[in-house]
Amino acid sequence: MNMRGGKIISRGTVWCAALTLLLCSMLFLSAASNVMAADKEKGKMRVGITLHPYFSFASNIVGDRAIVVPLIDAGFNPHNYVPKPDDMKRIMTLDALIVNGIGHDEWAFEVVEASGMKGKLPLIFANDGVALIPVAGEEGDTKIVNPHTFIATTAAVQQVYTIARKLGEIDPENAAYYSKNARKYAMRLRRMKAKYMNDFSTLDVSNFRCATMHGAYGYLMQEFGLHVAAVIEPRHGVKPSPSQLAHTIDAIKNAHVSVLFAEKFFASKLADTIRKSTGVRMYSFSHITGGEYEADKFEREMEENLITLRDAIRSVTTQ
Amino acid sequence: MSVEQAGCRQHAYFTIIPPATGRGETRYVVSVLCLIVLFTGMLVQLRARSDVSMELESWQLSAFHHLKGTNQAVFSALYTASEDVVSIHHELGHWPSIEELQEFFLPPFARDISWKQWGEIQWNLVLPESSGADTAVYAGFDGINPDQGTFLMVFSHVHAPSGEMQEPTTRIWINKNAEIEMPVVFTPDSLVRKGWKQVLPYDGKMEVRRLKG
Repeated sequence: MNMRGGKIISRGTVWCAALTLLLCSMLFLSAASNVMAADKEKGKMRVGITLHPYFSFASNIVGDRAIVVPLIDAGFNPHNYVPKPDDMKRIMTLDALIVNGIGHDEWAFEVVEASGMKGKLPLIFANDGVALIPVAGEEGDTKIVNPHTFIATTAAVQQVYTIARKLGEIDPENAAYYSKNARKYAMRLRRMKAKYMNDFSTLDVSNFRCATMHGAYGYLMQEFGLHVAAVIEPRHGVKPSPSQLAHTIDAIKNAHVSVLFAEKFFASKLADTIRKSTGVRMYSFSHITGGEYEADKFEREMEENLITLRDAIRSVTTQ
Repeated sequence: MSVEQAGCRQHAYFTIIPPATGRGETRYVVSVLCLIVLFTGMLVQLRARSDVSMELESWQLSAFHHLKGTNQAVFSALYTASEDVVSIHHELGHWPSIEELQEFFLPPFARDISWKQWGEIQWNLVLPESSGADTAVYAGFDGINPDQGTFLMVFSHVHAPSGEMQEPTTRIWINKNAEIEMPVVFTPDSLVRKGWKQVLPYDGKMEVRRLKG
């Protein structure tokens, strides 16, 4: 117990006062840092994105000169996303929105329309300059556009250039900076691909035949000169009918397919059925459209895909 | 309504009343069904998306529709590389040699697994002397895959009076005749006369136009 000027102050009161002071200063510091952060973000362009790879592309292009904002929260599957009121609030704070635009983020256009931003918000169509290819394994004259341009390095580079150019048009002050960053990022992606290309150079892939559960990997396979003999699912997550499945199993057997690529984090009994019926080896690729939004996500998950591809080819060529 | 008007026949002691056939109702139902079918048909037509198609001249091919396998892959790589080649040209001040492009790991020039898979095409940089626009050509010959085409990526550009290069026009050409010789003149007219076809991409811009109008 302390005695001051005749008053008795208990030790508990002193501790209480000290704790309150500490809390107050923490709150003050936190508020100050928020204000500083808000000030720092003031005047910066806010660039919205719809898919995880575009977060990586945009973050590497804009550096610290703009803020990249995912239109939907992490953890939602963009394949079957249903827009929410929060998305509309968020879209109204944007200066531009980067979209796939060719079938992988149709919900984004609903959000733009519903929020009254149609015609007001500049849309950056990442695939404007990408030479599109049909979904692999399609037969006959009907060719369906493959919208998965973001699961390959060459098509990614083309999109990075388009995004950088369009952002430069919206924000001319930083155009040269965006363009320089885009070149640097593209070089990094090419270097990563080259590393695995070297690994493959000793392998004989002339007889490598593969099938994929999902039509997402056509661009990736094309840049490695690999042929996809069959795609199992008619659309993402849509199971084939029994007759379609029987037809696909026949196609796999006839084309001497040795490897089936499924999708990571997307367990499928169907893949097991096909494996048992045909004896193919199973490997899984990342679709790069799940989990947290991170600047290095595209590079990290593409590298995992390249390692998977290398292991799959090795397993067949060395067996 | 009188008895006669209702289709009933009046006899001396009794009246014959014909059974209700529902013919009128059937007609109404059929008419309504026809209208519904017509209306939904019109709606389907209005909302239907057109097929993936392109308007081409006789000397042009669509990479999406007319090229397959190796040829399609080489075209995609060339198309993406064209932007890099122009940027590298700006940086270096000259058209990059094939070796310089290989240092940038740039497909289809880099000699990696895809180069092997794509028929080991031999690439050469050709800088023809011409009046007017300057021309740089990346020519890919002698691919070993069956049905492999020969490629030309032609950059034509003019220099401003200050000497600065203006954005070049890039055209990619294919010739499926394996015996074709390297052209001397690379103008579109001359190449078309020699049987070369200009390859055009089906790009995202066209697909967005098809999907969204």
